[in-house]
Amino acid sequence: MRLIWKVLRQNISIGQLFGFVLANIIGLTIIVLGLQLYLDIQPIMGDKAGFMRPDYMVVSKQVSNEAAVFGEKTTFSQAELDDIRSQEFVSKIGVFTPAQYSVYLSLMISSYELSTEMFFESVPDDFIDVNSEDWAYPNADDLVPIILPRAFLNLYNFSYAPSSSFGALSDDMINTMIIDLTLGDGAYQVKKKGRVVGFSSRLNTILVPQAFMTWANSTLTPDAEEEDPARIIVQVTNPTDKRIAEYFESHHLNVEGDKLDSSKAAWFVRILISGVMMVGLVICMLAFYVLVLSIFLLMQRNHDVIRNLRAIGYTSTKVAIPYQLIVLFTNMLSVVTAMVGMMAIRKYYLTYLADFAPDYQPATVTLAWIVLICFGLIVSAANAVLIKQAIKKTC
Amino acid sequence: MIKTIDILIHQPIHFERGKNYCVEAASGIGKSSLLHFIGGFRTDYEGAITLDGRNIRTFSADEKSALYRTEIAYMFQDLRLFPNLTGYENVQIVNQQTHFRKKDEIRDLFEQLGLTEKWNQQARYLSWGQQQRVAFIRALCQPCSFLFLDEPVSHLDDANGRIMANILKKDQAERKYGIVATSLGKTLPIHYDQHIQL
Repeated sequence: MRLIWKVLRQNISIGQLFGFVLANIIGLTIIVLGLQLYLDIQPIMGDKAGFMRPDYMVVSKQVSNEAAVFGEKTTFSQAELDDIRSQEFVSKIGVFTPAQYSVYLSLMISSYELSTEMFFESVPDDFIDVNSEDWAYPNADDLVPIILPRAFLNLYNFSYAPSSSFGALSDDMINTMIIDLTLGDGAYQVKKKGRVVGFSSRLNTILVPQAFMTWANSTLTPDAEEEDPARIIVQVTNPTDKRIAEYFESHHLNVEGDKLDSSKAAWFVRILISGVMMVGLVICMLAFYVLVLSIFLLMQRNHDVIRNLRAIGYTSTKVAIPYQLIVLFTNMLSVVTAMVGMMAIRKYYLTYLADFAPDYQPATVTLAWIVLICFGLIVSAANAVLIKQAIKKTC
Repeated sequence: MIKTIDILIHQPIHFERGKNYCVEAASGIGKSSLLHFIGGFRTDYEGAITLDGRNIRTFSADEKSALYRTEIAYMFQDLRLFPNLTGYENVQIVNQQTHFRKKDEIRDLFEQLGLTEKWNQQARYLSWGQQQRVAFIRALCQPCSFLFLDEPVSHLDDANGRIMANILKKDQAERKYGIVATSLGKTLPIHYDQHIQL
């Protein structure tokens, strides 16, 4: 191998190889940076805070002035539900079940009793992203699990508590509190105890498990007729699908929170990053072209040497190995350098991303490594095949 | 192991393993071309060249490589040495894949052909005659059924020609290969079973 390398390394143009490596590093860095940036901003774009998965949307009908005045229904008919269910971007839907009984809630805070009338709603349990043991009902303690809107806690902590000389409450403190619940009226009244198992920043309702709601509605209001749902929860296949916004707008439906806006933003960011990655890919393709040209030029310059090696019995495989190793080495050098470059730039932009969300956790770089190494290996393999074919023709 | 080579280009020519042939012709008639046709290095001819009945045109690139490694040894007219390799390295680049001769044997051949001083000298600094002798030793490092020598003594004095012939006779007696040598007038001094005029 040493002697073959000695005869074949003649005429290697360091300048050409350097040009390829530089172009390849720039292209690969852009590609992997785009990919990593996309992964790193997902936690911010996806808004995973809360108890709903990011691909869920809470949908209700827009309440027009006419509807308010004339009492038009703002509930979903079965046909409307079926139409939503049949959309391609919808993977499943669930309906909100409202409590048909009255709810009275009281809570002891710092020896003061806070009590208020409330309401409950429930959604199918598979839409709730909470530990299944916490959300089970009946559970071992026979406590009713409750998810509160985070806005309630914020209102208390930042508005009510300071003006009433109460201390602020943390999530953990709330979780340990037992809430007294008085459900229903008259003969159908029951008392229960409940516990807050979590807060939702995206769902403005008080949720209880579906099993509890079914039991309570049938027990406390046995004569009530089942009403059409006023709100539904929709799981979509891709939250950034622009057809979602188009459908909801054309059907005068509201999506709670800024879910649609964030979907549009995520879609825009995805397009932007895809564009940047395409630029990187084009640069890499050009770099690949430069490398192929360089190697073929080198083989052309060494044509006599290759021909003579073949004439003394060297196979095309053996003659190709030094050139293939050059390609592999330069590609892997580009991969590692691009990764180092990406990590350096990432370190810089992560400080900005962390400002968006205090509990922000960046994505891992494993996928970036896998993509880069696969890219390097595929390009090297393509080069290796081209080199082998060219040498086979040299006799 | 190839036993016969038949050439049907202008006139039928038959080469047999173990025998010596001298191909003679004036310059430019086609001696080197014939040798290149036989090895499959060139295909720009009409007719057929068969090795043990198989047409050389049907050999794949890697089959030809195997042929050059095990069946056919060449000493080319243009020698085809690698200028940046030393005398020994030019021999070793063949021997490292055939493992045919020990280093001491190669050194002994260098000594016999008066090349001891050229062992570590790059081929680019050797005279044509010295390069011819290095190329000859390289050809002897290949196991073969036929040894093709294209004007092997064109730039050698008679003494070196005789040394080369003696080495060849001794080696052929052991290995029983056929020799096909071309000559422009100055002939390698060995016994020839047939002289072929092109």
